[in-house]
Amino acid sequence: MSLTMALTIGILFGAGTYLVLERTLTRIALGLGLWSYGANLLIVISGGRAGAPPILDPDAPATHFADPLPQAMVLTSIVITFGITAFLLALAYRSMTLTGDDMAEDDIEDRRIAGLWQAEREEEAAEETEEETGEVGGEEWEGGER
Amino acid sequence: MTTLLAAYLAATVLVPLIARRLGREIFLAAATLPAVTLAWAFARAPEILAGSTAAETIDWVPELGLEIALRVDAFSLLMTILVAGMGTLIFLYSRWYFDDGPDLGRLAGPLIAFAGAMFGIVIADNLLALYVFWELTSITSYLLIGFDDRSAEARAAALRALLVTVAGGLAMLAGFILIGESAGTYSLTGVLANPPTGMSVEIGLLLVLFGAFTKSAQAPFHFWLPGAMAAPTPISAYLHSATMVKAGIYLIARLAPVFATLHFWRPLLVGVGLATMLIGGWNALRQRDLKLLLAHGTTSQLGLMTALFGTGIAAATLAGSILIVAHAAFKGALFMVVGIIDHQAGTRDIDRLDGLYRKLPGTFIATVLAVASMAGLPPLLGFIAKEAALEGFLEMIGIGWGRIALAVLVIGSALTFAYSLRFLWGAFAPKRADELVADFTGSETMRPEVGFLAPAAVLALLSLAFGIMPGTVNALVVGSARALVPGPTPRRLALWHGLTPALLLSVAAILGGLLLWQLRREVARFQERRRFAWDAEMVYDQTVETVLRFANVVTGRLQTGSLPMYLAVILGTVVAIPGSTMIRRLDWWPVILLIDRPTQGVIALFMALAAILTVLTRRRMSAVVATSVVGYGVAFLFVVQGAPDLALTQLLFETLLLVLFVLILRHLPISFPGRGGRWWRIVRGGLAAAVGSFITLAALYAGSARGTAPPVSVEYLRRAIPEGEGRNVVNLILVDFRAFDTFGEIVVLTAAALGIMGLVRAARRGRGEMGESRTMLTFRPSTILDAAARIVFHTVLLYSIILLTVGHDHPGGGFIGGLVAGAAFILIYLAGGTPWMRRVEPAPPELLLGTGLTLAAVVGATGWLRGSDFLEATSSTLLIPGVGTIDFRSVFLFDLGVYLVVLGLVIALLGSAGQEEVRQP
Repeated sequence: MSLTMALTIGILFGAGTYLVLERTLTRIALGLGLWSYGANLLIVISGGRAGAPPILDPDAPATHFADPLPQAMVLTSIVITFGITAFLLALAYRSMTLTGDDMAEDDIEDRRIAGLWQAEREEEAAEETEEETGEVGGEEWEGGER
Repeated sequence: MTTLLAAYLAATVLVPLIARRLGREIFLAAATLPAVTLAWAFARAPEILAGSTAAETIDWVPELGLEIALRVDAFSLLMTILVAGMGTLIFLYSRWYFDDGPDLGRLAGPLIAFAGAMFGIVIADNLLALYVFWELTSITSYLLIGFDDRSAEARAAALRALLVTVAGGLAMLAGFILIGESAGTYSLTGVLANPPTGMSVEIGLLLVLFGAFTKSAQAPFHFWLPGAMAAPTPISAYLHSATMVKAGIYLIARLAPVFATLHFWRPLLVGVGLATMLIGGWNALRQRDLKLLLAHGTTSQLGLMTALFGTGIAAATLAGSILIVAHAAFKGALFMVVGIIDHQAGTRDIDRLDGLYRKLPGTFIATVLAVASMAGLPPLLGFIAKEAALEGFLEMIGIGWGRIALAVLVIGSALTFAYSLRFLWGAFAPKRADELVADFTGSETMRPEVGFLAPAAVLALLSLAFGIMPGTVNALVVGSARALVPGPTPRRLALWHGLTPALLLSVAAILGGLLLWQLRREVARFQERRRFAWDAEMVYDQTVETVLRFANVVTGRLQTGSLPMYLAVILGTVVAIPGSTMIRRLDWWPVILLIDRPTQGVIALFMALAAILTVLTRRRMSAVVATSVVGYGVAFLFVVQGAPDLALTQLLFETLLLVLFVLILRHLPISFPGRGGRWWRIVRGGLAAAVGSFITLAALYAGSARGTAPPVSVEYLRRAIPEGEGRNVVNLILVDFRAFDTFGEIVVLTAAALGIMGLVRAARRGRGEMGESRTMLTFRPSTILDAAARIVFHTVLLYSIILLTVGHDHPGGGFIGGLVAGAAFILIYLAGGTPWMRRVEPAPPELLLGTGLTLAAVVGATGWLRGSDFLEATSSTLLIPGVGTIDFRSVFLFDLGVYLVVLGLVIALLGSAGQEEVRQP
């Protein structure tokens, strides 16, 4: 593996990571695309040095050819990546028609679970203040908070 | 034995099914199975008591040392008689206890399952099989305690019992594994014959004891048992007094004779047992509910059994065996009596029951016998058990703590005597002349039917009969003790041994009990004042609450619902854990080659710049174009690497993707929305840099691994021409060597295509409803493009078919051919929009996808018809008259299927992402 190739793959992954950590589905799709380029290159290049295309010539020795196995794996990978990217784009399109943009919103169920804990903490804080001051009535708190 | 176990399994399934039809008679039907088990036990008893054992083994998972090994010696026989005998009586009793109802199947099913599982525990000889039966009893116990599912209290009690016993069960499993691995066998007899030693065995034993303590309600885990009284009374009598809670005792009895010499064993077991005995007795004294009184009494008796068996010495083990029998008889009878009182008088509250002895004379007599046995009065079996226990502890008087233990035992016996009196008084005595109370239990209290009372009466009479004629149980209990502790036999059971120290202590205990009873008002007042500030139950409740709160906090913090946050956590973990390991092991610094071929450097430079541009640009279209540049760069790198098939595929897909992006982006805003907070951009940047560096290192690392073993593909290269009859090895791998993977892949492609079509259709429908204006791509007819498309279209299609057919020997194949054909349609679409494309498309995309997939599947399935594997390639020579012969290979048809699926995908995408069809009304 040459240093140039390793660095290129690293840059592709880095750029992809930055994009994937976005909320815009388009950028996430592009980030995934960069990741898959990097991964495909990594697999093919891990298959050894460059060689002749694996179109067999019975006279040549096996070492003459590039390793065909990573190539077959990556061919599959390209096709699948394409299917996934297209699907993501369709999702972005659907999201667009529903919400007006293609942002990945927070999961509502997850936020509710997180809220459960928040609510409990607030309740406790309310109780503590109540105990400390002894004057702030529970009703007032409940009325104010809910 | 296995037949019996199988019968229990079958009955568990069958009983709920027929319960509805039989009503409460189901209990009579179900009683036959424990009765048969009992008969079996009696039939085998003579030979087993003579010293032989019955054993059977069925392999289950031999790789894990898991087998259903069954073995019955005298102690197992005793337990079996207990489980089956009590089971029979309980089923008979249930017939009268329960009223007809639709839910009885839900009760009878778990009950018979429990009887089977309990039978399994006492005859299992494999530790893991024992564990399985053990947990089965925990689960059935849970179902039975929570039978009244509309009562929150019953549900809570059931859950508590389950959590405590299953926590113990899990610890026990860990213990069994530690012991089994050290001993090299999971056979109980094997472990006991050659006991393993060492640290891990001691830890394993402690874990097993933890399990036994939770199951047998030993302090400090005793609190679940009184709660379990929420179950119907027959359940309490059977599971939570006579059998299940003795599972822990059973295990202790098995292990103690071998392991009692360990330094921690006797102090722990005798200490915990006697402490439980005192706590249980003390708590029983203050109960107002008769059933709770019995429950605490049970805890107390279980404590005594733990202490007796825990010593591992012959005399105490004999006492324990007698106590098991005596306890089952008197406690079973008393629980049944409580059930009768509850059923007939409508309450179990001591304060509300008044003068019942006149109303229920038969029940009263049975109760007197059973209570006398519980209190340890002659001539009942309970007396013999207590005498034996005292003798057992007298033998240990030499040991340092022996005297204390003996004293505690006497105090415990006094407590037992006192709460026995309290039970009798509470249930039957005339307490107040108060008319109101008398009226309440008065006129409606009816005598129980004969069948209802009979099981309790039988048990009470057995307590008496065994006491008067100890010879009847002598063989059984002495045999059990001998099976547990080999060696000289303790002497025969008898009521009268002469004026022994044990007798004197027994008298002392009775006097103490009478004293406690005499001072009951003072004791009650003392108990009122001395409530402990906390008890085990509160510790349990707080533990559960803390766990739940902790889970809430952790979930609340981590599961925020934000997709970027989740990804950041995952990526951070990837970098932190494998990354740090990789850096720590960085002794390899591979011989780094700067560059392979100079062209790579140029292409790589362009790609890097384009990738960075993708990140920096704020405009969607520039980002897409920049990404495409990267993609084309990858294609060129494939060419340099020697992968023409890949390069072709990559180029075609890149083009298609670009068109697709452009079509979709029409609907989206031109620029990306805001960049997000500053700190978040820094975090992302840092993470991106970390991931990039990690991958670079990993790539170098992976590259250096090449050459440690011969590559798999050497074999592919060798077999390509003789077996695959082709020269393009990549294509051969796809359609022949690894064709099943490819089949899976086209399934995924089809699914994605259908999903996209569905999503887009839904989106369009939504728009129509919202009444927004339709985005129409207005075509400015371009004459040149139009003419070019007309000329090129058929040529490109033909070329795609050539690519498909030559794929076996040259770059090409189904994927590439399908994409090229798709490219032809893209051209038509760009020139004439959807209407033109609809005119030239050979079939709707769904049909293409379906045909392709079906073709591939059928070709694969012909492999089966020929008797070989799915997708096994064949070749045949077709003779076409007038043309000649054609070599024909099945993989070609498979590749054609791939071709059709890919073409279908492309057309589906164009139809979905492209211009909307204007439907004519």
